[in-house]
Amino acid sequence: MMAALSYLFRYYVRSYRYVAPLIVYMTVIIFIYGVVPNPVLSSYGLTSTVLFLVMAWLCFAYIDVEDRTQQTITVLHLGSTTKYYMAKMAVIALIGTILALCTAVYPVVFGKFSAQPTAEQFIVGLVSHVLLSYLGIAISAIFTSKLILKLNYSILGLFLVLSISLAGSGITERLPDQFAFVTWLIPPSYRVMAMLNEDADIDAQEALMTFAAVFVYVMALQIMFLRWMKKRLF
Amino acid sequence: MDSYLLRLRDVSKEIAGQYVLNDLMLEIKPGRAVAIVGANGSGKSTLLKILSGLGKFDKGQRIVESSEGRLSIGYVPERFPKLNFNAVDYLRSMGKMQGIPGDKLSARIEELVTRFGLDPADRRTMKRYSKGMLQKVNLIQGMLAAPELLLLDEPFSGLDHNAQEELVAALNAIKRQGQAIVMTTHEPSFVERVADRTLRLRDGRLSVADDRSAQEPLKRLEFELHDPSALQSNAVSRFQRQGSSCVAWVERKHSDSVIRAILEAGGSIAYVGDERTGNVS
Repeated sequence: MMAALSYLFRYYVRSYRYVAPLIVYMTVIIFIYGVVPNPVLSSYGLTSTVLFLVMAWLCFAYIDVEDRTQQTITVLHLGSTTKYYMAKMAVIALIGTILALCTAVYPVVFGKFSAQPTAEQFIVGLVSHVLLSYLGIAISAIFTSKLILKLNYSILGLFLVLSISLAGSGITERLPDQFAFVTWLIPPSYRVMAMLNEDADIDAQEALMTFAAVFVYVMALQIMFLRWMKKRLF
Repeated sequence: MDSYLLRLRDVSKEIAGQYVLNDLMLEIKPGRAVAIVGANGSGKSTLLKILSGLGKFDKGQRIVESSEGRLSIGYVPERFPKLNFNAVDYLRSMGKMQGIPGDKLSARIEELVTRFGLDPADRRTMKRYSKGMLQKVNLIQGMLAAPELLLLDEPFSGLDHNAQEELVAALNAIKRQGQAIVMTTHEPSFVERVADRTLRLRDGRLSVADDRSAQEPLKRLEFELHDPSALQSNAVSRFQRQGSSCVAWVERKHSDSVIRAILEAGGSIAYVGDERTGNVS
């Protein structure tokens, strides 16, 4: 598995498809923290939302980066389609984790907050970044060209789902009671944003429930993705 | 009872409203080579992909009968991509994914790269490779780990003469080790030198074009001899001149006497190997 991770990572690095999203991301983060001081949790809320969108962009450019013919060779060398996609998702998740860590640590190290965050605030901020980066990846992976053949449709679909996710709070407030179940279908990035934007003391139970909702959503999407890809073949 | 590695039973595949494979039956035995011939677009590559387990089909069954329940497959596609890796780096990655230990992998890569006339020290990425060089890397990646079944899509395409001869020798050696080969090709001379059976794919079905599986393989002798007329004998099934060299295909039981005759006539032997047949025009 390590061999597959290493190969897929090097393949991606040599494609340079990450350059544009990373430049945009760094620019936005520097802009956000360009003026000091900043409130801790709502700043983390903003940057984790940006990371959510950028990871969706990165994953969209990454998921089909390997040449199609080479994909069949790689899968046969690995011996399993599931192993192949698990390795593929692990590489982009690793990139997401590194970006999340850098984004959470940067304002602390360079004194961009109004006060140094408490350990609790830092952990909540870090976990929010990590989970939202995974959520961006999990959503974007579904829009691979193997599942949605036309590029126009996949771009449109991805924008639509990301927009619904960001506007989740407003949608749930306006939904009639009989459609309350729809709330659970909306990607829960809005739950993390709402929690961080309160910028008050963290309620540990609320934080755990929010993170659990995101984690379960990500896992469900990833399991669906792996099952679909196994059937899709080449 | 015959043992099989893989069977396709009543496999059908429809593309754009037309059946490219129609209730197709195919059985793959270990140590045997099958060549699939047919017109362009007849479904040969689709069939190889289905054999690999990575191609979808609409009806029928793909049954793996390997003793371990899982079949190791090497796949050499027709169009190998120009990747941003150098050849050795790429081959090392593919070999590691198959779990080949480091030392063994390095030795195997060195052996195959040299055999097919590539330079192991070449640091250029494959983006700068010619079609023939890419095809050599393609073949090597398929042969790295001695798979039970080797699938080759037009393997001779784009290769120079020496590499084609090396490939024929390598494929015959693979068969002797008990591995199975299925290849598609438009090169009849190579088909006859490697394949035990030639199947024609037409209208979605396979028919036997040639079956040499009951024949004994011949010895292929490559040698230099000033006057090869001294070799006129019933033992030589076929003789061919290649520049200053000669190639003779000889029945196994006569090979020692023919080699002796070449040496006694002042010639030198360059190569001796098993081959399916020299029965080509």
